[in-house]
Amino acid sequence: MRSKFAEILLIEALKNNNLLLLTGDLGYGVLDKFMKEAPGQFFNCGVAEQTMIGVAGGLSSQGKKVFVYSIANFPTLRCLEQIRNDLVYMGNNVTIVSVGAGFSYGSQGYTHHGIEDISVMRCLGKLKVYSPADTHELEAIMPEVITSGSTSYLRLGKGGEPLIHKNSLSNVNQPILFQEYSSSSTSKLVGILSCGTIGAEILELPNLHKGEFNYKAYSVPVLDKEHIKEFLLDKKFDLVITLEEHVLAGGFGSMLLEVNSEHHLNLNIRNLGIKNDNLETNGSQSYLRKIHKINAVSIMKFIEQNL
Amino acid sequence: MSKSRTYTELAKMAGPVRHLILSINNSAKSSHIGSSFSVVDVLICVYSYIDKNHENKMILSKGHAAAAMYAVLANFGKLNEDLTTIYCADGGKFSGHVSHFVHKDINLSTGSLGHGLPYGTGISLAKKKGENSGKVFVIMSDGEMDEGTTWESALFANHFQLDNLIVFIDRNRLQSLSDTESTIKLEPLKKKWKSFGWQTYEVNAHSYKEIVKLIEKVLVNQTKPVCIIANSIKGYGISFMENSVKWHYRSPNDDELELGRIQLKEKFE
Repeated sequence: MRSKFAEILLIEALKNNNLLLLTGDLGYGVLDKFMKEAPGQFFNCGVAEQTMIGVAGGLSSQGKKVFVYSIANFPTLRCLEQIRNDLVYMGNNVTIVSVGAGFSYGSQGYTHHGIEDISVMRCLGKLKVYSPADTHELEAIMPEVITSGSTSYLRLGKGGEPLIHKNSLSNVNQPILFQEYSSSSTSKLVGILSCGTIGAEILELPNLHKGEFNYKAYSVPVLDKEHIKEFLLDKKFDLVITLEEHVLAGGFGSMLLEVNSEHHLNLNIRNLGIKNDNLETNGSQSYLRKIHKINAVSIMKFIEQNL
Repeated sequence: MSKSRTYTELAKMAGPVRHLILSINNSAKSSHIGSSFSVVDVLICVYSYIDKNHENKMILSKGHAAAAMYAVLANFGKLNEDLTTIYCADGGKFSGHVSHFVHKDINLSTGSLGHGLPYGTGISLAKKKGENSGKVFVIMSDGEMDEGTTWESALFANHFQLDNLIVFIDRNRLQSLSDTESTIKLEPLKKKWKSFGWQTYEVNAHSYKEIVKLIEKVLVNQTKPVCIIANSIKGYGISFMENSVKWHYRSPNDDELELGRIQLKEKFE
């Protein structure tokens, strides 16, 4: 996913020399081509994320479109006040790109787990959060991110994420259906809404499903409450399950609860995500998804418990 | 582009701007008057270069000196509002820390220390890489030298050879609880900046002649980022406010307002 991002950005940069890419000394093997082919538009700011965000704000104030690239918490939590004051409040056109969503850097330890970023970034208000599940979603998001005039946050996986969509996409603002099961019209219908690369776990559900309920699984790469509201008003689910590789507090699931409450939708919504426990346990992304109970097996159990 | 002002013309603002700062701190019962009085003469001189040429940009990174920023803009005829009623008032834009919503020449809202220099560095980089000419002035407090971003930016500006960036440090030697040297030792401050690859100078922060002459000199021979240590007196102009931590926080009551007015009149008229 990160390579696809770099590839798309380079194409755009070669067309528009106002587009700049800053990195906090990360992107080995990913940003090399950009560095080589658009050297005047690339700046390594060193290991200094707070200054990098301030610099990005200053550049943007002079008419530049700036992308800031780093991993996990470094371009988000580390420099949160700079994002708040220098980018969002000042209305600067900067996209923060964080590679390593959720447990992408699982075995590297807790310092490298990006599991609170959605809630922290989302609460800044005038900052749009994008969290693609695969490269099809990323490709559809990029034109909007590039042309948007405001601050945005792009949460990427790492590399090798499975494609959850079979074809390329044109509109990613509404939840995108990518899997469904329907056996009987009398069975209850579960709407599964996932955010980010964790959606790949849903690809395993057909192997675990015993057919007691119908379901439709959607991916939600753009966190936009208005679009979610329209979607929820339009559908008739007996149960809505949200799925995220992120803490439950303030994240994607919380956003749906807010929509449910603000618009009196009275929907039966249950959130599946990370609780702040087992933080000492290390392991690969698939292992951590298992022990934090957000993998395919846990999703199935969670639905059965809540039906 | 406005007319160029001589240092003697600028020096005539020292009294009126301080009178306005004193009044609005009294009426709004706001703080940071000492910080405003220490930086205001540098601010007047620097702002004259923005007013003269809008290719130049400035950031007042020590956002707690907002009263000074607004009073300077008012004295240059840039504000329509009556500061004595609107500063820190309900429903207004004139917050106690610098707000960019007040005037287009305020390039950054500040108040959290350590933000102005990285942002100004970004503006400098954009100017250097683009076709924009002009200088970028960032006015910092000496307390801001404690912030990590100050030194991150010092490295950055040197690395990218930002020969259009001019930093003033308002060296009043007092910060929030005590003097800078007993808080987190800063000296030898000038040597530190020099060792980071900057051109360094010192100036008397209350001498318009010295400040303007130095800026003129830098404008013609800048080859690196420039750091000017402006040696100032916190609270300068009113004897009982000078060099006192208390006046970082205190707002003048009506008796102090009257006494302050008398002293300002004697000193600056």
